[in-house]
Formats: sequence, structure tokens, C-alpha cells
Amino acid sequence: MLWLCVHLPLMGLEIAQHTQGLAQSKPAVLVADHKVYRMNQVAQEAGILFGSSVATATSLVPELLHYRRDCEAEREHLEKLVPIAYRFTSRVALGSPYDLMLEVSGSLKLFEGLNNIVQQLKRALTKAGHTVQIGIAHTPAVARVFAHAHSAIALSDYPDETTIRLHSLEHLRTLSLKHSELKTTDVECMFNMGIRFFGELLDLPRSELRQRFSSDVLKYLSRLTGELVEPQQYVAPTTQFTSVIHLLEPLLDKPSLSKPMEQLVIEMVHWLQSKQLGVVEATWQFTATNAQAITISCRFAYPRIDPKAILEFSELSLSERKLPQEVLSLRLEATQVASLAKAGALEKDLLGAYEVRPVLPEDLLDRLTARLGPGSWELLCSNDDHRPEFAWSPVSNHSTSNKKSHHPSTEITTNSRPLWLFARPLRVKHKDFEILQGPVRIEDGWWEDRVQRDYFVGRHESGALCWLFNDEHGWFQHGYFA
Amino acid sequence: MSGLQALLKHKDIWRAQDLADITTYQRRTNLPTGFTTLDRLLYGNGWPRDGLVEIFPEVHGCGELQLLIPGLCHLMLEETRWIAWVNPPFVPYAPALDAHDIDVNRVFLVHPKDHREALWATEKILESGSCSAMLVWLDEQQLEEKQLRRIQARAKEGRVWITIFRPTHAQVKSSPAELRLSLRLSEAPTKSQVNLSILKRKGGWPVPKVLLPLHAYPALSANTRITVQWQQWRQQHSLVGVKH
Repeated sequence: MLWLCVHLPLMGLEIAQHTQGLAQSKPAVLVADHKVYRMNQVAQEAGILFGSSVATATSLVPELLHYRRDCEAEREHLEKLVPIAYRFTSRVALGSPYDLMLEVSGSLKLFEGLNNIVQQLKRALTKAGHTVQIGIAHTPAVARVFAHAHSAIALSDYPDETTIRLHSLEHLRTLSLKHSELKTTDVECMFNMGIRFFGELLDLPRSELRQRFSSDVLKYLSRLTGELVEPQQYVAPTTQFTSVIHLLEPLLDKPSLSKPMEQLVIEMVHWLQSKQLGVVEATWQFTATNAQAITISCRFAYPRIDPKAILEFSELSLSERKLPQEVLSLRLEATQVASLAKAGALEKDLLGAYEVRPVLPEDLLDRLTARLGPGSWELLCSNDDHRPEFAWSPVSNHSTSNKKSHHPSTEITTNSRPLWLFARPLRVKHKDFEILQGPVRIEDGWWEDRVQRDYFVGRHESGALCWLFNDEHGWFQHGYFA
Repeated sequence: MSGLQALLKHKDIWRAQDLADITTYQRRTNLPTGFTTLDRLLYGNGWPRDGLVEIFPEVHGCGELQLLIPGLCHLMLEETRWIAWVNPPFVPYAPALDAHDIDVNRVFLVHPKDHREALWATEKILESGSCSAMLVWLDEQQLEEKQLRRIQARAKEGRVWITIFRPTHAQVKSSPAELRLSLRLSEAPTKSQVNLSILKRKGGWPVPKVLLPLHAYPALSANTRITVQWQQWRQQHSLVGVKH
């Protein structure tokens, strides 16, 4: 077992700052139970201490920003990070106090070594705007201690189980008990007894400890050493993606929306990656202060996973719509997804690199849909049907038209069908035309729209060559030989 | 001096000395029209591979598409890029395109709601580099010369052969197009040929009259007899007669 614990020390502050879009250069603290619980670098440099009251902290730094800790929001946010962790292993658990636990022993080969996993995970989380501390050990409990103490052990890329166990326990002995998950009263009691480090506690005979401390302490110790296996509840990314950002201050214009939108898109892409899906339709909802909301759907010609394109097309759709005055919350939902493998959206060339091509026709079509609305373009498709109006059909979905096997009817010679067809036959007077050729009888479709017509090639008075037919309703023009 | 150099580099400026530069290689690179008579008259022996062409058909159905189709076919065989039709007046009939050997899987139609959208779509398609040719119908009332100028410049950048169809009365307006053709039906009695005039071309004077065999319709073959029988039958039953 190789456990990785991801601890985000400043998560509470980062959430608060993110939603308000504040710069990180200002001193800020997170307050829990009227006491300073977490603080950023700037606040720490200003001399604020953990556990001091808000009043004391404010007297030290008058421009101090303080936020109340919102455990619910932190939990929710952690769940949003699950897709990122899920890319590295399927065994992801939410650790007891707001940590992510990953069991990665099965992923070492895939990612070519432990260090690669740690680096990639760190990069992904830093990109999401977090300060990351990672601890690695043989049990979840020890990994958590390492992550909270922000101290790591040096491990090779493919460590075996005994080495991990030996190294972790050895390193654990040197760490202070204040990083443990024991009750604060117990830790205080141990400090008074002169037991300051894990090593000192582990050396004591268990039976003696049992007499002085509660059974929780012993249980914790066996969890540290691995004698007692800690049950984990593994989580998986949700089956559907919906994410909301509530803004603390309303946004007034479209350009300032692009940042929270980007955040949502990146979140969605993480989810898509973990599920190996691409998004076909994404729905945005913008809610204003007066609860008025507008919904914008973006459709894509093929399953997409690249955040840049998704964002670009979303912004294009948005540019055509009028937004409510003050947007207070944004919601993104992946309303339709499709498997990436089937669509072949990620075409790799022989060297394994993604091909650099000019704008794909699919991208172009998506751009048109985004700006001109759905149904603004169509692809042509010829069908095997004798009736002229059924022998072609418009297609507004790229993937289906490509798969259709294509058999041009052999009987249609170069000139027997006109290049221009009227979507609806036009009633004409027979005397305006000079009939040049015909008739050709087309009779089909008795089971639905019956067609029973004699087709002619005729020349209109103006000289245009027309495709005419005559049926029980009279004479009609159906196209031009343009 | 630098100002002049910059001006000469401008895409819209055409200099007669460019003509002298045409090597045989360049001559070959233009797109064969499929009509030998026309090829001989055009700069580079064919349609421009990048740039704006204007066509003024007298009426719908006078061979305006048949004029382009051999060139489009050639282009589709050469390249993998697509062909876009912006705001076509009728439906380009897929089986007929098939019969003319055009790959309908690489054809798409754009239906803009107004002139502004049509221009936007045209420009985006030109920029995208995913289409090799475009056929465009624009609203003549709102079309301005500067818009055409922009289209011409974008077409050069994106290497797109773009053809704009305009009504005959627009012939008199000035235009940055490098080739302007008007199509008229030839005089009676045969009417089986189309009278093409070159109003403007690169490297040459206008050409008033070129007869092209465009106005073809299916040759009367085996079913001529049926036609005759049918006409007799109609006459017998004193139905509407058919002129001949």
C-alpha cells in the first residue's frame, strides 16, 4: 500500500478569495470559533499568530481581511477536486479532516514512477489555485501526519512495501505530536509528561498507555503502524457534471465573466478526463440579483475536451445574448456527453503527438453554431430514394453524415437531375414552357408520401432550363438545370 | 520611399509587371475550368486558387453552376478542404452533385439570417483555412465595395477561391474582384449555348463573347419515342398540347 495524502492548508482562504476575485497579496485570515485558524503568507509575515482573536489580529494589521470558515463549502470544494485525483488512481477517498487520500501503488507503472505522479498531481492542483502539501506513507494515518507537517520522505520511483514502511516509521518518530489527530487534551497531557515526538510515544508499552489514555489513542497508534487497517470510503466522480459558482459581488459586464467561466470549464474538463468523455452539449446559466436567469446552450459537432475551444465557443454564444444586469451566479452543466474513443476526437499521429492542423471544418461549424444559432448550417447527404425530395437530406450533425456509406445511384447520369432543387415545388403555367424532353415517370412511396409524377425538362420563356413535373394537381417546377 | 514600398506590397495593388513574372509553373497552378476556350482566356489558364470571382447570371438556370462544377471537382480531388455555400437561393441537389463527381460529404451550406451574419460567416470561413472554395450569394442592396475588398483580401490570405453571384444590374458597379463574368443565354433558335462575357480579368482586356456549351440537358435518347407517344396520347385526349 502506498498512500498519498493531499493537504490543502489554505483551502478555506483560497475558496473565499476565489469567489471574490481578490488579490493574494493582501493579508487575510480564516476565522473559526472567533480565532485565527488559517492565514496566508502576508499575514504570517505581519506577525499574526494562530489561535489569536480577530481583535488582536486586526490591531496588528488594520487592513486585515478575515473570512469565516465555511466547512460545508470546503467539503464541497474538495469533492470538486476528486476528478483531478481520479486521473491518477481509482482509489480516491476523502480523508477525515478535509484531505484527499489517494492509494497509488497500482498506478506507478502507468505514470512511470512515484515522482511523476506527485509532480503531476501537484501541478494540476496548483493550476486550480491551491497551495499543496503532499505526504506519502504506508498507511493513510501516517500520510496525513506527513502532509500536515509538510515533511516528506525520499522514496525511489518504484519503492517496495518494506522500504516504504521502514522509511515512513523512521521519519514519523522525529515528528512532533502536534501534527497527530489525537485530541488536543491528550496531546497536552503527553506534552506535560515529556512525550513530544511520535517516536517517544510509540516506544512506550501499550499496556501502560491503555491505563492512562482512552482506547482512541491506542487505536490511532495501531493505525499509524498499520496493525489496524483504517476503513476508507472510496469516492468516484459523479455521473453527471453540474457546477455552480456563486459570486459574492455581482459582475456587471461580460469580459469579467470570462474568469469564473474559465474556472467552470476547467472543472468540467477535469471531470470529462476522469470519465474519458467529451462534451457534446454544455449548458450555461447566468442568474442575476433579481433571480432572473438566462440559459445558453452550446452544441459541438463532436465530443470536445479541450478547455480553450469550449470556452471560446461559449463566449461566442454569449456575445450574441443579452445578459441580466448583475450576474450573481454561474452554472455549467454538461447536458450531453459522448465517449471520446468512439468519436476519435483525439487523433494522434505516428509520433504520438497531437497533430497541428488548420481549423478543422468541425471547429468552423461549431463557431457558426455558436454565433448564428443552431440550424444555421447543414451538410448534404444523398439518400437512396426515387422521390426527388427524399433523395437528399440536410444533416446538422457532423459525425452521423460521415459514417453513412455513400452509394450514388447508378441510374442518375450527369444531366438527368438538376443542380438546383426547390425545397417546395412551385406551381407554374404549362404554357410558359417549351418542353424539351420527357416524360420520365417517377412513382414511389406508396407507403407514406405517394409520388406519382411525370418529369420533363422544359425551357422557360426567359431561356432558363427547368425541371418540371405534371401530376394530378397540375404542373409544377421542381428545379433549375443551372 | 518606404511608404511607396509599403504601398506596393499592399494586397490590393496589382501591377502589370506581375504578369511578366508568370512562369510556366505559375501558369499551370491555376485551376482548370474544364472549358478549353475559357482556360485560354484566363490568367494562369484557369480559375484563381485564391481570390474573388464575380458571376452575373442573367437568370437562374442559365448554367451558372455548371460553369463552376468542373473546377470544383478538380479542387476536391486535389485537396481535402471543404466547399461552403453561403446563402444559396435554392437547394444544391445532392444526387446531382454526386453525379457530377462532387464529394457531398465535404460540402456544407450556411443559412445566415441577414446580410451582417452572411458577411460574418463568409469572413470566418475564409479565415478558417478549412475550405478551398466558397459560393456566396449576398444581398445586393446592402453590399458595399469595401466589404468586397475585405472579402478579396481575406480570400488571398486563406487561399480560398470565392465566387459571388450578383444580379446583372450590379455589373456597372466597381469591384475589387479579379475576374468578373456575365452569363447570358445565346440567341434563338438553338439557345443551347451560353454566352459568356469577361467583364474584367487579370492580364487582359474584357472579352465580349465566348460561347460555352453549358446549357446542356439530357440528350434525347431512347425515351424520345415514349415522348412522342405520350404527346400523341395527350393530343388524342384533347389535353393541353405541348409546343415543339
